[in-house]
Amino acid sequence: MNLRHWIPSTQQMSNAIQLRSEPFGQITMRQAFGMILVAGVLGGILPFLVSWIQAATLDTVLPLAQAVRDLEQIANITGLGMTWPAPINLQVLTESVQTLAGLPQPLPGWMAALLSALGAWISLPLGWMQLWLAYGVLVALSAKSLGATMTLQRFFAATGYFVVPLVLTNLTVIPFIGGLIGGVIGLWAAVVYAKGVQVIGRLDGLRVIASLLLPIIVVVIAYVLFFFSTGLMAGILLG
Amino acid sequence: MIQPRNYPEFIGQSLMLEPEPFVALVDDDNPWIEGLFLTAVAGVLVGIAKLIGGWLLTASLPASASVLEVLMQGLTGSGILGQMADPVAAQAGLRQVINLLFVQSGYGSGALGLLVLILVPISYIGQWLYFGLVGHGIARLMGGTGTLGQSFGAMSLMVAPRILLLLTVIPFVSVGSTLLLVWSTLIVFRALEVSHELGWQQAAIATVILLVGFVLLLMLIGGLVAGGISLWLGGVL
Repeated sequence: MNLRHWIPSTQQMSNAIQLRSEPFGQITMRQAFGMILVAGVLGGILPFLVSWIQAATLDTVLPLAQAVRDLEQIANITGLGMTWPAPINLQVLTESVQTLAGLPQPLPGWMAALLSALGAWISLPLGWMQLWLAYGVLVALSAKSLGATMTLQRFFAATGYFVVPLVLTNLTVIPFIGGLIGGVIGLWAAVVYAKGVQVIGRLDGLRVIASLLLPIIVVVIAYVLFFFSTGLMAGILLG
Repeated sequence: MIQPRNYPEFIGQSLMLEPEPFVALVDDDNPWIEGLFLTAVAGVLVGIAKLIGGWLLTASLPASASVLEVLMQGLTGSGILGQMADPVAAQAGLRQVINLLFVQSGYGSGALGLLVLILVPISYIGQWLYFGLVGHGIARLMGGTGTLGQSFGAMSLMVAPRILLLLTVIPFVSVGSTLLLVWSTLIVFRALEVSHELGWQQAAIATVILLVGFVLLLMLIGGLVAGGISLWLGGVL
């Protein structure tokens, strides 16, 4: 098995994130798949370590540790004088989650923390893969309807480069500015994705933007219609 | 005859939507047997992964009964349930939903967890039968040229994305259902295109019809199963 069949060269990746056109036509879907896996693994190293330590400190699994942290942060904000919008007793909720986190589990705390942090790490490239394929199908259909000429495989191959900037997800663990860095990385990834659509679909800028936005608009409308009709039906059935 | 040692290569190629595995299964002397075997093997492997993942999840978390009680106390005490029109009914309903989620994830399901070893392969074979049979009918109506056996053979590759579920052997790994659905749909599209020599537009239409039928069927079965379990947990059955 040749590694080059499964991942593009670093030069190609570097050129792609600098928005040069050539690499978008030189990659295969197999290479894009391999690149997403590798980028996900690399991009999740620091978040994995931080998550493990965070959960191990509380001797529990990551979701419970995160829930405890989030509720404590909300409590701190409300303690500063900001009101909690819903009539919910936040203190009782926080205490319940803390109780859950304190309950003993069969495995040692550090091991439970490790398994849950590992699960979150592995889920990262899977989440990116889901975005790549599910959103990609809709964008490809939009682009095709707007005059793009490419096969589905070529499309998935070219758009796969969006994960390269996401390797910097590691930096999102930096306190205070992590969120901002995450936003910048996300924006960069979106621009690389758009470049891929433009090059492989041979579309002008306006059509590229339309191809990227149409699926989002359709999905939002579908959700609104679904919830509206479900609410209407529930209202009718419940009198 | 296709050797099982070729399965990993076939699965990898079909994930990349390459035509070779579809052609190999269509040209096989007994495509539907190959398809059935591939689907069953994938189902058993995923079932084993889910079982081990469920055990590890149970070992990583406190006892499910204690978790349920603390959760219910927290939700009741925090006033979340108090906002419902009927808090008692809401509490009972929520308890059932949480119980269902626990069982579905293999958390604290005990010996019941062994059922995945049977249920997963059966569910995969059921889906393969639906897509093979109905897909064949629709493709033939659209002018497809493949035989029923060839349809079953090519359609078995739709199990390929589910190999990702082997990762659920590690608890808390989340393989999105949208990912599996979209990827399987793309493979179904390729299977119809190759096994029936359909144009991409016809194959796409056939795939959409198949998918809509499948979602409707799934909703019907899901509703019946959820209703049955709900009645059972509620003590009606």
